[in-house]
Amino acid sequence: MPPPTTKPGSPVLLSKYSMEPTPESVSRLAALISVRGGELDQIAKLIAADRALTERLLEGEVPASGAADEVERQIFRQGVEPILVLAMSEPLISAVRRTFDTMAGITLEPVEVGKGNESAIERFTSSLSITGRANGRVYLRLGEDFCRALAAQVLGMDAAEATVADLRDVLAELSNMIVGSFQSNLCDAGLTCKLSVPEVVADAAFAPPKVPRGRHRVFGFRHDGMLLLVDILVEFAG
Amino acid sequence: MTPKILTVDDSRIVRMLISRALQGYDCQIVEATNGEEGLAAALRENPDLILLDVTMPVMDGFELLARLRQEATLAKVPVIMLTAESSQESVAKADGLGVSGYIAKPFKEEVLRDRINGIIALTAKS
Repeated sequence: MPPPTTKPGSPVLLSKYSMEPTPESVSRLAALISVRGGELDQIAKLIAADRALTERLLEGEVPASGAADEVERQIFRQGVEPILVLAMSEPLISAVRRTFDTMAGITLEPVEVGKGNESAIERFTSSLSITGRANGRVYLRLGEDFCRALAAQVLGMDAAEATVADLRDVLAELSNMIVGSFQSNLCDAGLTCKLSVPEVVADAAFAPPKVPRGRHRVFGFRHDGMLLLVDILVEFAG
Repeated sequence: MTPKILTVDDSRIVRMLISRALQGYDCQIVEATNGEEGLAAALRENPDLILLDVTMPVMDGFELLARLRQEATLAKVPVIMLTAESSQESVAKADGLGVSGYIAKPFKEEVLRDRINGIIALTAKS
C-alpha cells in the first residue's frame, strides 16, 4: 500500500525532504496573478511592497513615500503584462545565479544591458520553451571563453581540455536546471506549465521569434570580465 | 557487501557528476539514460538504491517509479529523486510513491553523498 500523501507545499513535506520554502518572489507572483484582472491600486500595493521589483519597474530610485502611487502610474502607462514579466523574472534571475554558484562556484554580478554590444559576445545560445498557463522561452547567451570556463568548473578539468561537445552539454544541462527551477516556481505560483528539452546552437545570430503580444526582457551578468545574457520572452493570450 | 547504485538520467553531465561525487565511496554504479532502460537495468541488477531524474525521453521518472512499486522484487528499493522539477506538486507526487529522498537540481555533491550515505546506512541496519 502506498504511504499516505501529504498536501503539496506543507511544512511536513518540506522538512521531510529538506526542501526550501517557497521564495517570497514566487508568493508575490502568485498574489499578482490572483489580482491580475483586479483594481490597479491593489496591484500597485503588492508591487510597492517588493523593493527590488519596484526598482526594476521604476528603473531607478524608489521614492521614500508614495511608491505605490508611482507604481500605479506606471501600470496605467504600461499595462499589467510588463509587470507580470518583471515579477516572473525575479525567480528566473535567482535560479540563474544559484545554478552558476552551486554547480560551478561562479558568482554572477548583474550588469546593465542595452548598450549595443551584446551581440559581440555570443558564441553559444541555449533555449528552452515553457508551455501551459504560462507560455514563453528562455535563452542563455554567452561567449566561448565563458562557456569554456563554465565547463571546466563543472567538469573539474582544464578549460583548454574541454571539447565543444563538453561545452554544449554543460550549457544544456545548466540551462535545464535553471529553467526547470523557474518552471517549478511558475507552477507553485499557479501558472502550471511544462518544459521542453534544451537546444544549444553555436555561431547563430540571436533572433528571438516575433510573437504577437509577446514581451521580451534581457538581463545581463558578468563574471571575471565575461558576459552572460539571459532573455525571457513571455507570450500573453489575446 | 558493496552497494549497487542505479542512476537514471538522460544527461551525461549529471551522470558524470554523480560518478564524481561517489568517487572514493565503495559502491558499484550502474547507469541508464531513460525510464525504460532504467526499469530493465533495475530488474536485471537488483540495485540497493536508485537515483532518478523526472524529465526524460521514452519513459519519465514518475512512470518508472510507479512501475518499480508494482514489481515485487523492486517495490521496496529506496529511490532518491534528483531533478530540476521541484514544484510542490512534484514533491508531493514523489512522496505519494514512497521515495526516500528528493534533491532539487542544482545540487551540491556533498548533499548527494550525505543523502546516499544516510539511506544506505539505514538499509544496511534493517
